[in-house]
Amino acid sequence: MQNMLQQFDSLTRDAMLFDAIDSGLIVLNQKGEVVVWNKWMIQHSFIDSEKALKQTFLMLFPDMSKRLQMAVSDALSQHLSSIISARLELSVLPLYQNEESFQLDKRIPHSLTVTPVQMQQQHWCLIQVKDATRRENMEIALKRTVLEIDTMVSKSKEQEFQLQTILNNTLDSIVILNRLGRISGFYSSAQKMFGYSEYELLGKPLSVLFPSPFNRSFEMLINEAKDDEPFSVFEQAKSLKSNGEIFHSDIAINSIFEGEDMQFIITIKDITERQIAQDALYREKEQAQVTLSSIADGVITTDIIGQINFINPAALKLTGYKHEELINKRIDRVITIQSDNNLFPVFQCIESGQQVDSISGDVLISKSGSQLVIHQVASPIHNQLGDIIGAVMIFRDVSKSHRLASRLSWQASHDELTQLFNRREFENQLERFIDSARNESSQHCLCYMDLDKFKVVNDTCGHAAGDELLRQLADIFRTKIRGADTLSRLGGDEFAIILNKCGLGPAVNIAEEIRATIEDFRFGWDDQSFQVGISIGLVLIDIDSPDQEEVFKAADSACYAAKEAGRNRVHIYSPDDTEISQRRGESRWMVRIQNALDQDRFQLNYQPIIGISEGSADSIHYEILLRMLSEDGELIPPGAFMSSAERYLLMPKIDIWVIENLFCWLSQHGDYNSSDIFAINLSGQSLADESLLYRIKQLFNEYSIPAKRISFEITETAAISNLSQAQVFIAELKQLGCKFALDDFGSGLSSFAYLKSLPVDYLKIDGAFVKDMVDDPIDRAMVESIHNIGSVLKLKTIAEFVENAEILSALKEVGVDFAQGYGIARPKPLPTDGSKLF
Amino acid sequence: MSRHLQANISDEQKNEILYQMAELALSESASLISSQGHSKVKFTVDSIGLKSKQGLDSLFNPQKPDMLAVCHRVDGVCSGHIVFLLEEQSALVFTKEVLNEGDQMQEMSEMEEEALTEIGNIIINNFLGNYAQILDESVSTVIPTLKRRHYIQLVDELSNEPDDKEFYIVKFSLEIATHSFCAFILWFDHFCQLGSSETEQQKMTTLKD
Repeated sequence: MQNMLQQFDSLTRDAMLFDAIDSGLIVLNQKGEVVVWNKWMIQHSFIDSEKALKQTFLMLFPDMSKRLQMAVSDALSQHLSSIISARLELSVLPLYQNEESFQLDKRIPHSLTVTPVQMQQQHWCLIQVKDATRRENMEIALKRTVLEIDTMVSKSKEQEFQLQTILNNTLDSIVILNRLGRISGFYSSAQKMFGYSEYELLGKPLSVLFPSPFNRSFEMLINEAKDDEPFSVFEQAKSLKSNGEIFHSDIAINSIFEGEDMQFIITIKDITERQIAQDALYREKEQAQVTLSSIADGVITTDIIGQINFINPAALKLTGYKHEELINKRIDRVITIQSDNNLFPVFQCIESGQQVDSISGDVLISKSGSQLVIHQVASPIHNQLGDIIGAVMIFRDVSKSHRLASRLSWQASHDELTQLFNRREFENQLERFIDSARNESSQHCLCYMDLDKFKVVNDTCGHAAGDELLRQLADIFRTKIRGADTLSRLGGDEFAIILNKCGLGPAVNIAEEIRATIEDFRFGWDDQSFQVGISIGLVLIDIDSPDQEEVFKAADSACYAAKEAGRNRVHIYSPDDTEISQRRGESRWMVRIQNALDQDRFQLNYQPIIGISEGSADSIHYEILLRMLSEDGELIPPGAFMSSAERYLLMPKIDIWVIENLFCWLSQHGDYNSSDIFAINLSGQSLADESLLYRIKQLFNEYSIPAKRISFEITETAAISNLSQAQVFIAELKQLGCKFALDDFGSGLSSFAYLKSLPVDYLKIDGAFVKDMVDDPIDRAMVESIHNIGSVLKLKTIAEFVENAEILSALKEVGVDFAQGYGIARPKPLPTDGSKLF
Repeated sequence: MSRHLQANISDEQKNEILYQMAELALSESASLISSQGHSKVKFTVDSIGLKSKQGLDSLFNPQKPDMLAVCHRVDGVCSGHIVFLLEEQSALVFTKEVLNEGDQMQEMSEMEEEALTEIGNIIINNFLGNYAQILDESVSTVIPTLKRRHYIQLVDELSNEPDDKEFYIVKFSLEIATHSFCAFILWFDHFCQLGSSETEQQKMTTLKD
């Protein structure tokens, strides 16, 4: 009993020990039967001990793994211990944490040890089961933490790498300073910029990188920085490279905290290029400002809505406003310009995007109310993207030149003596009237008027009297015509009237009235009284009229017929008049000229042209002038017959007569040692005559005249009218050695550009500008202008109509090279007695 | 060859027997581990022989001396220690491959060490089991322990013999996935004396036959 009790006590004690263990305990006997199944096993296998005991382990767990089977077998048969880890084979036995897990078959991870034991002299096996849940959870947590740390470290490394890459590759330099202001970091970009390696600069002060006073300034700022306050400074400074080179830089200093330590990051940007660009821009701006302030043209710029944002001094002067009166104001509200354009050019160019060039003749009304004729150009201003951001208006006062142009234009179309239209303008008007008659089926009348007995006054009282008579007669003619009629002086004592929209009947009445008035008119001069008459030829201009030349010829014929019929009468043209004229050979002047040529009734005169400038003082030229001798031996001035000669294409004959006779005179009387030059006038018709050119060359040979002693004068108008022929003509004779002068220069209104294409040697300034240059500043300006042009083109200038010492003195002031006129010497016939010319 | 042949067998014969035993044991172990783990493993015997402590530097890599060893104390007739060991880093990689652990930890967790211990246990148990069966010897082991030691230190600790006493060492290669490692089984004390008794010699001769 006691044994049983002892055994029972022992068993109970063992059972209590087994149940106290916080792990599973299974004991298998030699047969593999379960002999111990502790409380832990009951709780976690949900197999009670009643079921477990006496069962074999295999029967209890028929799905046991091979590994466990082997382990149990090894332990029971071969006494080998085994360990079955919780990780290599998961959940070897179906063990659960609780009821819920059991229901869900959610097994707990566990490990086992299988140990052979000796029991009752038999080989039993002890299986210990340990719950690995906590270990597994801890492991999972640990691994998760490690992963997170790895990720953080990895990320941190990546960020550090990225930062390092940025710091090493940024264009700006990065330098790190410690709290004491010593360099503690010097990245690749800084190394490149300054030319130092990192180790050279670590621990060094800022003075290595920045010259005085910048380094001291930065050090002071750093020293004064408070530890608990963020610090940020941005300045421009000079930086110092290792090779001593100093460069401009933008500096930013910012504080950073590494832990509790304050450090400073200095960012240095090399702004040398920017500085250079800024300097260049400033210089350009300065240059532009100075230029704009200096030029005489007014410059105004506006923004896109026309608001003025810049005015130069010239613009202020021209407009008469003050700066503050114009700036930021809309241009069209402060500046008044009268123009044919409705839209202000500035707005026009902004709208179109194109430059707008105003027609000259726009009138700027200044603040004081004065009017200035201006030429203005407006251009759009673009930004870098090509968008229009405003406009610039440039304008200049062309009032003087406008007046000059108007005057020149007037002079080109008017006879200076009588202020009537001249021949050229008459021809233009006649052409218009003929066109009008054709296009509108209208009728006009041409009155060709030739004075009777005009020569008497001229010869008796002189040219001055003749001129005065012509002026007074012109005034009378003006009173007899209507506003739409055209009154012209054709030359000499010939006049013409084109009666607008007038039939023959009324024209005869007007012509008759004129005739009667002239007949009754008495001209008084020097206590003498003269009566003159007028012969008038009338021709109708209508739809059937031929061209202008024929109409003119018809009128001329009619006038001739009036003369033939006894003068002082009006004759209406009829075809017979032309026939008569033709039967007589030609018109009267044509005949007379031809006869004069045939009979050598021309006279060569000369007028000296003296040098008045330094380089020309020793030279004397002589212009050859032509006079015609009438049948009675009276001298007829060229003005009386030249126009007819031109009309009847006789100029080449006259010109060749002049040349041949001059050459003949030179061969007989000329001094071959002399360097004097003889200037011969050539007409436009001669320039176009190739045979004439050939003949001139022949004459040089025939008379052995040195070509260098001959100068030919051609008018500006003749040259431009026959430009290509003139160029050839001039080139051919210049090749021989002749010189050329451009006569009446300044009055032809041709562009100076043509001048460059004519290889002339002299410019003869139109006498119309010279004779009044002392009193008229515009005329003086013209003379100066022409002389300056000539100087630039290396041409000598010759002034005509030098009538007195004042003019001569003025010409010398201007620098004109030669002078010609009554004030120096009057024209004289070429001497045949060997006397000196001048 | 009959039982009654000469009882003395040479070291070469011993090696031959051990070689075959090792091959068999490792083959069985590889199958079991492959079925339990997540990757297929392969063990191949490279060599087998006697070594003394002096010869260890030629066997192991002095640059990587730290080893992980699963140590089994053997009791019974064949007493001593039998150890499965390999370089610590190799053990880390091998274990994580077997367990398919993708983490980047450079140390093994406790449960991973337990798994490695089990792997060593499987290998040694197969080895000892075959040995006991074939030679009809009785052996018993206690639960293996995992040691982390310098190889010389390990040998010092586990071997009771003087320095010049030799012990058997099986060198074999572990292949798993794309890795290949070198591993060892060291058998101290008893097996060195294998064949010293007549009975053993007879058994070994029989084996050989």
